[in-house]
Amino acid sequence: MASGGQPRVGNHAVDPLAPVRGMVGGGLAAFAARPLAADAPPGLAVVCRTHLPPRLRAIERLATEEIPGLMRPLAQDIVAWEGGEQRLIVYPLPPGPALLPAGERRAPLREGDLIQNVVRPVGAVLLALADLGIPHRGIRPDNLFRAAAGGPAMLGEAWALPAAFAQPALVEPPASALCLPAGRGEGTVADDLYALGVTLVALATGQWPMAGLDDAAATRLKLERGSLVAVLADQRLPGGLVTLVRGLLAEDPDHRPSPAELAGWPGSARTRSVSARPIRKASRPLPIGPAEPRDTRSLAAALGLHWAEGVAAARSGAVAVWVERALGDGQLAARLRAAVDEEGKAADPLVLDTMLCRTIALLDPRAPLFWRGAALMPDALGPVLVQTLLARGEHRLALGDLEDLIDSLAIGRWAAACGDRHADPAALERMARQYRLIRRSAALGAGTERLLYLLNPALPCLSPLLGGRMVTTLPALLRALEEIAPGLPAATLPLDRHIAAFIGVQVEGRLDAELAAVAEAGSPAEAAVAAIGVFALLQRMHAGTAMPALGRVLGDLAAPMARSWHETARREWAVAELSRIAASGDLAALHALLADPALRQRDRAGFAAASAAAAEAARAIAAITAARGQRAAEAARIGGRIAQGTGLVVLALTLLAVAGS
Amino acid sequence: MTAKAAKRSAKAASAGRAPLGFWGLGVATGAVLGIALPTGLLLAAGLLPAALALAVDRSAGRGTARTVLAFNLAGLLPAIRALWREGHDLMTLAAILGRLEALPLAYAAAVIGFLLPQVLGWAVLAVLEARAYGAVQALERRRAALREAWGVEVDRPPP
Repeated sequence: MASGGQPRVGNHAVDPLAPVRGMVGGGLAAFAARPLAADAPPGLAVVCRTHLPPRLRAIERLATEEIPGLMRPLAQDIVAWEGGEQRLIVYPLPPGPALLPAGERRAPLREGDLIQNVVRPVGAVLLALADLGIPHRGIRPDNLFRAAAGGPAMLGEAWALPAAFAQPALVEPPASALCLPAGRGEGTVADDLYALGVTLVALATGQWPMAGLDDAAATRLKLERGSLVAVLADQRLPGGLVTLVRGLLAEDPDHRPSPAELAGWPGSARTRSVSARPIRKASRPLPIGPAEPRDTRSLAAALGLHWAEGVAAARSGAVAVWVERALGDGQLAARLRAAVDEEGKAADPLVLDTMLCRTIALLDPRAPLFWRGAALMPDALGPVLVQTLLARGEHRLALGDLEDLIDSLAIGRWAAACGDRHADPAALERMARQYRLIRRSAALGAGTERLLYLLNPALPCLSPLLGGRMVTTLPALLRALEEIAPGLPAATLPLDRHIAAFIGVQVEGRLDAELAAVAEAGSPAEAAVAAIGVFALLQRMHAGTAMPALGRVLGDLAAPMARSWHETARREWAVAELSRIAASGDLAALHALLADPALRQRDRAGFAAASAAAAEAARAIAAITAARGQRAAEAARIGGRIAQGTGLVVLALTLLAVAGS
Repeated sequence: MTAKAAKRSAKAASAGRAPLGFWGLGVATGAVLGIALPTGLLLAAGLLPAALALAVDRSAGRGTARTVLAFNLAGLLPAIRALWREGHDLMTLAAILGRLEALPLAYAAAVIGFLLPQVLGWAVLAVLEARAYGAVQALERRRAALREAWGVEVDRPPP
């Protein structure tokens, strides 16, 4: 924390009393960030939201890269913020205001200005990002900034929210626009090029295109008329821009110019022989709920958005009939019938949902993955899952829907059916199976929670035990557990499903067996010992900082195990040492005290041998006691024999004495 | 053969032996009485405890009866020697029978012969019991040591 209650993030101190407006989209708050180092530029800090995790991998990659013309993240950290903790990302301040804020009208930019100061700089940035494998997914008219005096524009931030979350549907390709905002996925540079196309139209005309239309209407219009027609409407562009915008708004991503072409536009532009094909319209619409689509892409969207009606239409064969008769595409109709024949007769709703999912993919190979009225890209499952769990009601998918999506392997089916060459069906099938395997597992450290953290690297641990602390790393988790341990209710194991899943992801599955052992323990004490084992390994992995509070809590829970040693000396020693070792915070020593497998085995074997010896002794005592009658008979027999012998000796001696006298 | 039948046959056998012995003794005594009446009468009178013991002792081997017989006979020998030395007639017999060292000695010897197996049995039993007690004590010490080393659970029967 910097002085004066200004948290420090990297080389900047963030002033919570100095909000910055108009620089960040998605409704995120931003504050002035004062440089603390001589070479640090003035900045702004964006406050992230827990239920909308930032693109952490991209942030960490970009923090070490120098990309001119891009508001790249300089640093990020979790700091104390407004009575709690929050992740802040610091960006350099843009050189000036946004080129065209949403809902405003400005003077149109001239073609030369656009090419020189927008297209080329943005092309260079996209080229650099493409080299890093990171799409921007935030290009829009109000996310380009430049000084009032002019000059090249700077591309704004796009990493504080899930990819493309802040993008209005208008600037996204139709497939992405159909998705839930959190479900648009990382996408590709082609999506950035499309967004640049719409942005250029806006800047060239001085207003946002398709004004007055909401997202759904804008997307529907794009599907029905094609992006170029829908975005341009009756606007006219300068002659030199038309070719560029037509290319950027091409429906086929492969027809869009590359970032390298943009960086040198127009000199580096390549001619393309393939032009966009007109959308094939049917002779009559196919009513799906309130929608009346006349083309396959609109039909696919209508089926996906009106799920129940879509299932009924696909199952009844109406879709295939319409495609064959109204659209005249017998080949597609045959494929649709094959898909429906396989699963359309099933009674299981899950199978019918999967059937519709495949049907949509066949109708529009570029359509996103539709599921029960919502759409998402498979790689956006993580952010959607977070939003479903933490911000219920913000979209139509419930947690059960997402779990069904995973369990039905719909991602793999969609990939196999969609035929989009940018998606690797085999990889997606593998991914779907892996997700299902993880989700279905009831083991501690697996299940939906594991998927949640696996798919959202920036997500803090959501365990209620942590009391709202922003824990995003294992050292932070250990620190938080040490802090909360004294206040835990009695008999509460500081290792719930969220913490276990978080640990499982952070250690990349290396502690899965140990975590599972916690849940499989036969008693709370055994579970505590297994948990001590897990935390001991984590403690060793991370500098071995002592955790006396956690040790005491776990030691109390595991005390019955200390008393469970059979060997009295070891038991008395373990009980005596438990408190001392627990208070020392050395969890490895605590674990060794309670659960050394070799010693436990020796103890068990020794106890078994001792039990056998004691039983043998007891049997021998009982046998001796029971043999008293035998001993009496034997004594009588021996006594009688001796007496007989004595009698004969006495008789013989008497005889001798009588005979001799 | 059933156990009952075997028992019956053993009883019959023993019933056959006892009268045979008894009558054998009677014949022998009769012969002695016929040949040497004073000696025979002395034996008959002096060995009454042995005869009683033989009749009463039904144990296998009749150990007590034999001991009584040996001691009884040893106790009677001085009287027989006196009869034979002082004159083998009924008068001498009568005089000897009145002496303290004659019949009382024989009968006392018979009593010793009767008591000796019991006393010796008790003595042997005492030795055997002492040895058993020692063994039990050693085992108890072992169990106590095991309890001390492994707790009282070591003594509980496995579930």
